[in-house]
Amino acid sequence: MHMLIVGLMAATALAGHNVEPSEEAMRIAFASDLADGVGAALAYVGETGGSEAVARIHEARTDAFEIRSFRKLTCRTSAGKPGHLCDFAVEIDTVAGPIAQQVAGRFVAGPWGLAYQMAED
Amino acid sequence: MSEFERWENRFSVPDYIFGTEPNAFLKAQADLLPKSGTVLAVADGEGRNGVWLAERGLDVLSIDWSPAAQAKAEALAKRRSVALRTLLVNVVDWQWPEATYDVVVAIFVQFVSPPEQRRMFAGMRQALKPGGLLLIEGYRPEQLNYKTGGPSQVENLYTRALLEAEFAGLSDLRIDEYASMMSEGAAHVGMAALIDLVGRKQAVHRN
Repeated sequence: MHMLIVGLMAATALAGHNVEPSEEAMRIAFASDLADGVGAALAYVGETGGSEAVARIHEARTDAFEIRSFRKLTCRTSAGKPGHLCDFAVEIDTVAGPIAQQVAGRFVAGPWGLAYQMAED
Repeated sequence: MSEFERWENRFSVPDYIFGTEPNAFLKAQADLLPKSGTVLAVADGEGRNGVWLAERGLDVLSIDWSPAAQAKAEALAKRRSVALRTLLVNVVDWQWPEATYDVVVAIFVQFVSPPEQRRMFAGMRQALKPGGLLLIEGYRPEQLNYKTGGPSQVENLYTRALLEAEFAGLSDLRIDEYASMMSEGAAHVGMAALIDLVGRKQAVHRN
């Protein structure tokens, strides 16, 4: 019985790999990646410049962002690559002003949900 | 694929891959810009910066080496009902004009190797009129650790020491290094390690 459940879960997960991601799942994955990227950059600044350098960024609020809107445009699969390559339009509020950008990125289903990867140039 | 082909391919899509809004650093320097005069927008690509400058009443020459990018710059100018002069130029071997421009703008022009970069910087200094304004923004080497896009050749990126050495002759020189959320291109949104330069060519020529 246990093997059957495990097998069903694996099959469900595999099937999910080919399902085009929803707009909401894409938004969450993109926001999570953006937050991770900011965290990694701040960690690097901290390692190289110390806590004062990080404090200067926090004070200037140049690390702050808020996703104001997110709209899925198109998604497609590409041979030999996982997940879906998707175009989306995103508006992000930052201290330097709003970013309104059409972005292309890859969304891949993983064990902890959908993950976003920056598209190759 | 050559570097030219790579850029031409990137620009040959219908969308504006770097967007149509001006660069945030450039926009923040609005108070320094003259009310009228000539601007050289170096490697202006699809024209987002050149068109914004033209909208401010400036006479802008937008130079780039990509015909696809310049066609889009011209289309953007037409859409915004402003005049934008364009010229197909390879900044590496261009005969830079002398003392011609009130403003020279170079935003993320980091695709050239260090020897080419030195020639380009010399050309930019040469093209400025005495008292003219130079605005540069680029990535710092730390950008490679941020992994949020930009050039992958560390030698092409700007350091404070490099810019101070290249532009020591400018007056009112200001160089700022910082990290900020930004978007450059269709694939790149995130924290970026940036360096900005603002300076004026001195009345006494020190090229």
